[in-house]
Amino acid sequence: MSKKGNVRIKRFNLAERVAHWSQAFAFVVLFLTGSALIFRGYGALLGAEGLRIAGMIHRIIGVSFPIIILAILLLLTPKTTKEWLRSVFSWNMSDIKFLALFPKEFFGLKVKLPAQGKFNAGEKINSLITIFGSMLMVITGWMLILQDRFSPSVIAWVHLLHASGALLMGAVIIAHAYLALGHPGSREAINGMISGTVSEKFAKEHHELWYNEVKDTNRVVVGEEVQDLKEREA
Amino acid sequence: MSKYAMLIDVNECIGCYACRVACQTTNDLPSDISRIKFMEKEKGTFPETEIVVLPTQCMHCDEPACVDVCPTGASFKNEDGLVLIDYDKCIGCKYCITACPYDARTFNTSTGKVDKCNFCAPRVQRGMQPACVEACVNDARFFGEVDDSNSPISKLIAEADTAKVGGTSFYYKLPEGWDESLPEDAIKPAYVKNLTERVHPAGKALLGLSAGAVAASYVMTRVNGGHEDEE
Amino acid sequence: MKLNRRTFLKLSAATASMAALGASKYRSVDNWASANERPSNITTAYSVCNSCGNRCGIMAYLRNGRLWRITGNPDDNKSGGKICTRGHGYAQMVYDKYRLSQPLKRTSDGSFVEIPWEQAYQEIGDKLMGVVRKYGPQSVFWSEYSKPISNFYGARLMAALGSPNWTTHSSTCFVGRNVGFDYTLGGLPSGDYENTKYVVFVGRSPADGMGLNILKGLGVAKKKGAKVVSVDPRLSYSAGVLADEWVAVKPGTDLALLLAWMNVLIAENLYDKGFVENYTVGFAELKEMVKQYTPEWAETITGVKAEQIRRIGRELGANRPAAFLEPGWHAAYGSNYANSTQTARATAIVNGLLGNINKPGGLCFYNRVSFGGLNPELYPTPPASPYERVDGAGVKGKYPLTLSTGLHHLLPGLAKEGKLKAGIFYSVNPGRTVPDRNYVIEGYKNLELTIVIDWQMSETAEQFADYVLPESHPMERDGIVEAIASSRPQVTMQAKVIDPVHSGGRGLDRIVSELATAMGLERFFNFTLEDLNKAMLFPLGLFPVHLKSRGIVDGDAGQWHYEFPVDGSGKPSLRTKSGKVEFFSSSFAEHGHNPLPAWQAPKVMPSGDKLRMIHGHQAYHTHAQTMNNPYLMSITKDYEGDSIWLNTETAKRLGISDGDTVQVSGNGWEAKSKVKVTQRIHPEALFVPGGYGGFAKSLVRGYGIGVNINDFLKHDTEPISGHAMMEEVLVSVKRA
Repeated sequence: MSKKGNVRIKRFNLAERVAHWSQAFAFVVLFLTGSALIFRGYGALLGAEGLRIAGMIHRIIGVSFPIIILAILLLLTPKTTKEWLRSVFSWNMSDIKFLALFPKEFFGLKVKLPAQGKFNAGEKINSLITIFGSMLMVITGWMLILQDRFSPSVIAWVHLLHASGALLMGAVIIAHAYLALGHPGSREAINGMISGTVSEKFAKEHHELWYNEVKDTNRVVVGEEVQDLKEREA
Repeated sequence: MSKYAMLIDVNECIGCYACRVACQTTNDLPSDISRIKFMEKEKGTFPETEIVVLPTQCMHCDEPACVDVCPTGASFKNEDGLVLIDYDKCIGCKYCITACPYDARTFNTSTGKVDKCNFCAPRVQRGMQPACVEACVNDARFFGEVDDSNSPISKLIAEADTAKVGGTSFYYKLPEGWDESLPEDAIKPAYVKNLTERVHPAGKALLGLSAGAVAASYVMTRVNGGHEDEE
Repeated sequence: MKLNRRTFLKLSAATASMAALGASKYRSVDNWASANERPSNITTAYSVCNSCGNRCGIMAYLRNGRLWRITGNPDDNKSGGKICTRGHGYAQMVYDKYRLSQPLKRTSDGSFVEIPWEQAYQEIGDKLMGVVRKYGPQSVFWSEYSKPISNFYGARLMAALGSPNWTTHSSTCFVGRNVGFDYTLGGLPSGDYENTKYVVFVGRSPADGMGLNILKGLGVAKKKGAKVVSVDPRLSYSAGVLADEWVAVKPGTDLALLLAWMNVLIAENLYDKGFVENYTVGFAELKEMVKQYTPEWAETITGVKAEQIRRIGRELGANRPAAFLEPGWHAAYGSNYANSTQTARATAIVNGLLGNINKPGGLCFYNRVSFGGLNPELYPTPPASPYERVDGAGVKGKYPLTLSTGLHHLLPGLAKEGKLKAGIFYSVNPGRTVPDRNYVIEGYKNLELTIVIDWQMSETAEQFADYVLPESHPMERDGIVEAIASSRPQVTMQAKVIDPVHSGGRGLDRIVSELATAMGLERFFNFTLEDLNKAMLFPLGLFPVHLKSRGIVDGDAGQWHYEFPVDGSGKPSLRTKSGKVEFFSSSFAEHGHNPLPAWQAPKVMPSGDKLRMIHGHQAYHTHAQTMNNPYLMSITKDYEGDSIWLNTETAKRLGISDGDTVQVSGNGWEAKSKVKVTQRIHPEALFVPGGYGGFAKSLVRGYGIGVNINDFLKHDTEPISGHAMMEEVLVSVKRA
């Protein structure tokens, strides 16, 4: 048990967290409903009626959630959204170094990773894939909904892009979820997306540059929560 | 290979659309959905102008692209060579509309399913001609069994000015000088190959790769143990 | 899709039987077809198509008592077992939501309210009798799109009232042709298509205007090597597909072409000398007149090369008598140009020179059966009106040569002058189908009483009807027995196919009889339609039930012989004054018209950027009648069928490209349209597809679609047959 006790650093506000989980929920539902047309065994399991319902859910979620998520990010927490975007689009040598060393870290080998800001290079890549991937999926998705207005040759490419995007994002999501839930080196990060705070130790070790910046302003003391979490982990 | 074939004598098609409306009523289609499309071409300079009207519909391909991309098996080719849709299985995903090289499929908004020519299979079953053939006011359409070399359609197919749309069950007779307007052979569109042979396998591989890496990491992080975060 | 209990059950069932999707359970046509068909009870019934004036025999297929589809009746010589696009679409209108179902009365604020039939009869009867008492019966008229049922009931109602003004749509359709042929050949013969070697269509397009028997006959003839020529300013589907040769004549100059053919036939001794000697009058005068009309001269008028004119003239001569000029319909002869009546005469005369009357492969006056009639002792016939027709049809000093069907495009003007006070419009829509919208509507608004009888709304009903009476759809009612003239004459009748969809609609026979009863004229209508049909069929030994069960019955009208008609004493007996073919018409001379069809230019001629507006049928529309038909209008939408046509060179000169929206203006009218730029039309012409330009708001599917040539026309009348001159109009066009 950590002796540092309940000193925690605030990482994500409520709006950021709701936006994240909305995105997560939407992606999972869209992937589960959409990939039934890619994995035929799974499609057969749903049956025709199940696929029709899946299609309906896919369209409802696909149309509504991007709007909800954008609204939250832009209206409820524009400041952090701006910072997030600035961060994911600014790259330097230490990011590259981080990425080069990360595979070792991923497979549990000992490495000294360069100091990172609020978002490490891996998270930046994940963010970029999510931003551009979601845009691609929304645009191509709408074109498929309105496919009568486009020529079949355009739709042929749109459909390939939609399927490719889904599969690529699916692969990324698997790794992303594992890093947050199962990887010993980074699973503390999940707390940042649940309670909004991460342990001081995690913040210092994984996001040193950011920690130095916010260690005084974002410091919170929430005893039980940390305790609870540790118990759950144990 | 198909047992049945259709032949359109373009020399006789006056572009009147009687086949279209007869098809719609016979097959209970909404008035704005047609299984038959018409392409009109003209060439020459006034007053030496020539025209042809080329009706197209499902060509009942030997190796239908629509069947390849259909995720539920709703589109299928039966043992008589007809490409049919099992409406119980069609979920209206429209992949087949994109895949069809002849733009022969339409989405029926009233049923939420895809629609196309089925050579009037219910009529053929009773020994009747498809509705479009029956309705053609200028006898430009012919339908029949090609197995039988003595059938009227086999005789027409054997005539020198008859051209087959390669890889399909469709034949046309074109006026002199209009050979180039014959619909192209049923080559599978790149879309079909890209989807079924590239995107789907590559994507699935990527997913597998990701899952494999995760599994490997899970094992290795625990074998290596003593990671600094573990206490 | 609603996520209800049933869907959930299905979902779980589908999940349970996941293997089912693997292999298809349908392997053969048989299995698939039976799995995809609804259980149904299919029955058939015979009737006659009402979608145009051709009246082809049909077979209706009903599924569980509901009309499903129709086909041509294979026994019918007129349809040859086929039915056209319009027929397929028209039949379905019986279930259309825009059908009228209750009598309508216009209220003081201009809108319509539904009223019961009894009230409608009472009010209309009172008002109509009031007009008759106040202004005399000649102030009342009947106007119709000619149909057998209204030919009888409309004419009889007018006679019962004492009015001479029973009128059909002929003056905006075919009157010039009929007058031209009547005064040359004594009537309108039919082509013996199957046996012909050479046929020329002047203006008419059987592939667009639809002549199913013609298509069938040409199919047979072409297989035997016959040649088909189409004279048309536009490469119609007849010219482009049916014909071997297109003669791209300058619109309105067909007469010059025909005169040149006479010149070639006579100058090169290719005409039938024996026939001319025995069966024609006025050859000497004709020969003298056509000397000047050489192919070279005709080239300067028609724009058609002299060699082509001469060659076709020679081919006609070489193939006679199995060669003919088809009698046409509306385009070159019917009611379009100042010279149309004489153009029709010229066509009849060329046929006379070819000596093809009643010859195999020529033009034949086929027999038709003679019907009986109501016994006047039991069913008193109303006396003929003592008054002259108000429109001057058949009246000396006005239009003595024209048909007894009258000149309906003159009626709005006569209403404005106060000579007409009440009118009944049956299945006709002059608000849109007669030239000069303002003239028509403003004129008819002067009527004190306007009644429209139709199964759908129309511009006429919306703009100036006081009462609209809903007729049942033709599929819901019997009609009057009809004779089909052919080498094998036949009898048929429109028969009720399904029970009325709307209980409110009534057949015209019932509407007229009940209205007459409300006016105290029931003595002239003391019989049912069934009584009438029985009386008409009596001499043939048939009953209506025979026609209903068999559709078409061969009529005994004597064996057909290819012989020139002669009377008992062997004298030629065409229905002309002389009994012969009249190259020279003394009747025309008598009434101050040229007895020979000398060249006469159309009233207006295109010059510079002023183009002649021409119009024509599409195979999938019947005038304005089908503009609310969802099946037919969807063709228009899918293929931009409402586009006007412009020649490629002309368009280039005007800076217009295919698909542009253009502004067309002429005679003070302007309209916008999409344009099809094509090599298929004469550079001096602008083609408007017929029937479009609807402005009846209740006909939603056609409202505001396309343009209407009638809007660009000014009211006008040709002096011989009295037609409306519907292509004497110049327009200019520019990018909108």
